[in-house]
Amino acid sequence: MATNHYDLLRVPRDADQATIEAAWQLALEQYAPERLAGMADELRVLAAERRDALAAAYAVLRDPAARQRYDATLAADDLTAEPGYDYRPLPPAGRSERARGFVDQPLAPPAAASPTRASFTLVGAIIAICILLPALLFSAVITNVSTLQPPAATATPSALDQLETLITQARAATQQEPDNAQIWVDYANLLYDSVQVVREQQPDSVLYQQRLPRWLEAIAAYRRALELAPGEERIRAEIGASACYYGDGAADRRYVEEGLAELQRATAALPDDPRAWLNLGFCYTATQPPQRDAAIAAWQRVVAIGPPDSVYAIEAQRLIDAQGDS
Amino acid sequence: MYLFGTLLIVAGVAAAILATIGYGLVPFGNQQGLLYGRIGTRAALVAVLLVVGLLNYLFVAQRYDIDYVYNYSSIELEPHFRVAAVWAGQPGSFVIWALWGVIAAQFLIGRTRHHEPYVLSVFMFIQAALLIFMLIRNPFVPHLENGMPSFPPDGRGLNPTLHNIWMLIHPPILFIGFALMAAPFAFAIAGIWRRDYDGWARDALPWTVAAWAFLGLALLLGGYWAYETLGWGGYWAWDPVENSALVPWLTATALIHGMLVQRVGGGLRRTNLVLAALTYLLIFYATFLTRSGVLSSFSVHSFVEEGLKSIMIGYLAFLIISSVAVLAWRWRDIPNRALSEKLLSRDSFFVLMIVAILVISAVVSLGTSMPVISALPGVGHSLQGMLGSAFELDDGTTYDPNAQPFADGRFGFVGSFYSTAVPPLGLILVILLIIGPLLGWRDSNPRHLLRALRWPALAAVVVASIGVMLGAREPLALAYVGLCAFAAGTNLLMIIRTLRSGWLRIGGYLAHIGLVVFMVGGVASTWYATSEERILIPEGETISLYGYDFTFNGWRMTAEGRGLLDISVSQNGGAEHRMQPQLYFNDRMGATMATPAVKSDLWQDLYISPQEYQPPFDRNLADIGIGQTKSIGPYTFTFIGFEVPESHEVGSADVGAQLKVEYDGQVTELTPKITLLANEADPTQAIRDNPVALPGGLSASLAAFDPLQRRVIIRVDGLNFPVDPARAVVVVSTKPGVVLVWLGVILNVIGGFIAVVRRTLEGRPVPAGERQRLPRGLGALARFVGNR
Repeated sequence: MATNHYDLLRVPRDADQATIEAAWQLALEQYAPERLAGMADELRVLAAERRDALAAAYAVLRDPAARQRYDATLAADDLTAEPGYDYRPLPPAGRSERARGFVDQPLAPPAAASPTRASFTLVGAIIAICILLPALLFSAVITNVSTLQPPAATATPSALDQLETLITQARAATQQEPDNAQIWVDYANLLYDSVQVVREQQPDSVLYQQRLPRWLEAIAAYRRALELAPGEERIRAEIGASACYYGDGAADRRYVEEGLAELQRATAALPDDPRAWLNLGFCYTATQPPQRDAAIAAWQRVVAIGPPDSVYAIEAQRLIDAQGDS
Repeated sequence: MYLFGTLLIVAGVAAAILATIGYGLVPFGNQQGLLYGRIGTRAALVAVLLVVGLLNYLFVAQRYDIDYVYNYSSIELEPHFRVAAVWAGQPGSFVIWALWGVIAAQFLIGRTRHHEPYVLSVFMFIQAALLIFMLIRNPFVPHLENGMPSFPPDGRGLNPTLHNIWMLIHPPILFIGFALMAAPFAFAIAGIWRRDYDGWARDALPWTVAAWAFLGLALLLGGYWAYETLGWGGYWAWDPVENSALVPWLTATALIHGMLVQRVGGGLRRTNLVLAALTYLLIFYATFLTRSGVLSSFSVHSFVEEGLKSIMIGYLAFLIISSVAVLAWRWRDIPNRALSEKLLSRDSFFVLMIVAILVISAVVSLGTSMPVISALPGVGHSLQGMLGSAFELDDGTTYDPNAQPFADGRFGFVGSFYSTAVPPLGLILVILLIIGPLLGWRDSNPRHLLRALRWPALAAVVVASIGVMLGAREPLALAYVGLCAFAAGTNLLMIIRTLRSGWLRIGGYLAHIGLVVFMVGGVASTWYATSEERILIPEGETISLYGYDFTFNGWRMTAEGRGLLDISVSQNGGAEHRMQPQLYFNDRMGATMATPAVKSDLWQDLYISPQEYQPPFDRNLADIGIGQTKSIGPYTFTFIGFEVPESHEVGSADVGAQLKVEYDGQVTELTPKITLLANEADPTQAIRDNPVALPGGLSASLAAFDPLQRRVIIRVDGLNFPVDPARAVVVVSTKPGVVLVWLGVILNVIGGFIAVVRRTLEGRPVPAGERQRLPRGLGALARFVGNR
C-alpha cells in the first residue's frame, strides 16, 4: 500500500522532473480508459480511484513549490514516526529454505506496544537501577582490591619503623637511669637487632652500609652495661659479636680481632651458651684469611650443646652445610 | 583524578551493560528496551570519550603523580607523542580499543535496522568486557613510591623504541581493525538469535571488509616499522605477535569470501556463522597470547604479565563456550542449500580457497600456540621429538641466550617452520586466483575460460622468463613468480571487464592483484636477498660489497644521545648517498638497540644494520687496572697503586700512579703524576702533566685516571706507534623487490576500502521493488560520506 505520493508514482524521493513526468505518462497508459474497456464494473471503479490518486500526486509533484511543501511535511512525518520494526525473532526455519514471499524485515503490528507503555517505563527504570547499582558496587570492589589497598597497607608502620621508636624510647630510658645495667642491655639489644635484621635480609644493601655505625653504638652500650655489671660474660659475648659484625661489614680487621678475643673469653667462661659459640663461628669466618675449620668446630659445638631442634642448632647446622658447599 | 577517572570508566561499564540488557529485552517484545539500549550506547560513547580526554589531559598537563603518565612520558617528550603515549602502555591500548568499539556502535545503531537490538546487545557486551579490563588495568592509578603516593617532577619517558612516527599510527589502526572485527561476530550471533540466517551476512559484509582492510593496513604498518626502524632484519619474522594478528586476518579473508557465496547463492550458511565466531575468538586469543605472558620467552616483542591472565582465560572460555552453545542451539534449524557441483564454478573455487586459507591459518596458529600446547604436561617432550627432526625449535633460548632452556619440554618454533610450511600452501591460493575470478557462480564454459586465459598466460611466461634471466632458479620461487604474474593477469582482465559497470566493483580484483604482487615481493626479498654480510669499515676507508662502496666517515652522538655511524654509500661509482644507522642503549629494556639504515632503490633495498662501533685504538696508551700488567712497545708496566699525598697544600693536588716498569730485563719503579690546580683562570692549564723519564730515553706520563674503578691510562711519548682508526661493524644485505611487498599490501588495502564503499552502498535501504544501483562516477564517494 503506497503511503505517499512518491511511492504512489513509484519514483524515488530525489527524482527529477523528467522522471516524474515519465512515471505519470506510464500511469496514464496503464489506466487509460480504452484499456479498461470490457472490465468488470468494480475494477473500473477501483481503477478510477487509483487514477484520481495518481493525478493528485502528480499535481503536487509537478509543481516545485508544492513539492517542496510536501517534502517538508513528509520529512516531519519521518522524524516523528518510529520505523516500527517488529524486532521479534523470525519463525523457525526448520532446516528448509524460507518461502518465496517470506518477509524477513516485518513491521510491528500497530497496537502491540501502546496499551502497556506505562508499565514498560516502570520496568525500564527498574532495569536501569538494577544495572547501575551492581556495576557501581562491582567496580568499587575491584578498585578496592586491586589498587586502593597497597597505599593503605603501607601506611601502617613496618616492623623496622616500630624498632626505631623502641630504640628512641630505650635511649631516653638510659638517660633517665644511667646506672641500671639491665636498661643499657635492653637498649644495646635493640640496637643490635635493628641492624642485625637488615644484615640478615639485605647484607649488600646501601641501608646496611648506612646502619653499620649501629654496631659501634651497640658495643658502646654493652660496654657501659658491662661496667655496671662486671663479670656478666653474656654481655661480653654480645660485644664480641657486634665487633665482629662491624669489622666484617666495614672491612676493618682490627674490630674482628677484638671481637674474636672477646668472644673467645666469653665462650671460655660460658662453655654451654650456644649463642656465643654461634657468633664465635661467624667471627672465625670474618678473619683474614677465614679460619674455616675453627668456625665449623665452633658451630659443631653449638649442635652438640643442643637440643637438636633449637634455633641455634638449626642455624649452626645450616652454616656448617653452607661452609661445606663453598 | 584517580577517583574521577575510575568513576568515568565505571560509568562506561554501566552504560554498556545497560545497552546490553536494554537491547537484550527487545527480542522478547519489550519495545521500551530499545530506548534504553540506545541511551546506553550513546552514554558509553560519552563516558569513553571523557576517559580518553582525561587521559590525554593528564599526559599533556604532565601529571606525573599518575603512574601511567609517569611510566610513559617525560618533560622533554614532544606534544604529539604525549598524545600517542596514551596507547603506549597496555592499559591505554584497552582505552583506544574500547574507544573505536563505542564509536563503531554509534554507526551500527543507524545501519542495522531489524538487527539493531540483537547486534548491539552482543556488541555492547564486548565493549563492556573491554571496559572491565580497563577498570582492572586502571590507567588512572596514582604513582606510588615506597607505598606512598608521590608526585615526581619528571616521568620515565617513552620507550625510545616507540619514539617514532609509526607509534602514532600503527596501534590506533590495529585497534580499529580489532574493534570492527567484533561487528561480524555480533552480526553472526544476531543472525542465529533472530533466525535470520541470510540477512546477517548481507549486513555484516561491509563491516567485515572494513575490519579486514584495517587489520591488513595495521600489519603493513607494523611490518614497515619493524623493517625501517627496529632493525629486526626484515618486515616479517613469523614472530608470535605478528602471527597472532595474521591468523584472524586470514580467517576474515575466508569469511568475506564465504559471505559472498551466501549472498549470491545462499550456500555456506553454517560455515559463515562458524567463521565469523572463529575470527573474533582468534582476535581475542591473539590478545590473550600477547598479554598474558605465556609467550614471554618465545618472541622479540617484550611481553609483560599484567595480572589479567586469569580473567582473560575466563573471558576467552566464556566466549568459546557461549559461541558453541549459540551455534548448537539453532544448528538444526539452519537451512542447508547445496552449492554448485561443477568444478569450474565460483562456488567450488571459493570453497577450495576457504579450505586452503583455513589450512594455512591452522598451521600458523598451531605453530604460534606451540609454547602453550607443549606446556601441557606430557605433551612437550613427545612433540619435541617428533617435530625436532623436521624443524628448528626454540627451547626458550633463541631470544635470550642467557635463559635456561625449559625443562618441561616446552618449545616454540622459529621462522624456519613457517617458511617451510606456508609457501607451498600459498601457491595453492595463487593457482585458485588464476582461474577463480573468471568463473561464473554456478558454472562456466571451458572454451570461454581458455580464451580469457590467453593473455595472462603469456604474461606469466614472460615474467617467468625474466625471472630466470634475473637469476631465479629454485622451482618454488619460479613457480611463484610465474603463477603470480598469471593471477595478476587474470585479475587485471577482470578489472578491465568490470570497470564498464563502475569502478566500485573492482575492489576484490584489486585486492587479489595486491596479494600476488605482495607474494612476488616476498619471494624475491626472502629467497634472493643476499646473505647478511658482516663488514668492518675503518674510519675514512672504503669497502666494496654487492656492488656498493661503503665509506665510514665517523661516529658521533646525536642530540638524543644515540650513537650514529655516518656511512656514505655509492653504487658502482655513482652518486654518493649518506646512510646513518644508529646504535643506542635502551635503559627501559636493558639492551642495545640498533636502528638500521635502508636505501630503497626501485627494485632493491640496501639494508645496513649496525652491530658495533669500535673506538680508535692508540697503541701508545695502556689502560691498566690496579695490580695488572700491560706492555707498550718494549716497556712492561705494572700498576701498583695511586700515590696521593696525605695532606696537600690548598689549591693544587698531585695524583701519581706508582708503576713498576720492566725494560730490557731491568725493573724500576716510577711515578708519573698529574698536578691539578684549583684556582687556575685558564681551564686548559688546570691540569699539568709531570712525565717521568723511562730507561731507554723515552718518557711516560699519566694520561688519565679513574679513582672509582682504580684504573690509569699510561702514555709513552716518543714511540710514535700508529693509531688504529675507529671502525664501524655493520651487517649489510640487499633485498630485491621489497618495494613490491609494500605496493602489494597497499593495493590490497585499497581494494578492501573500495569494497567497503561498494558493500556499504549496497546495504542502503531502497524503496520496495527497486533494484540497488551502484553509482559509477566519483560522485559516489561524496554520497558515501553523506550516507547514513
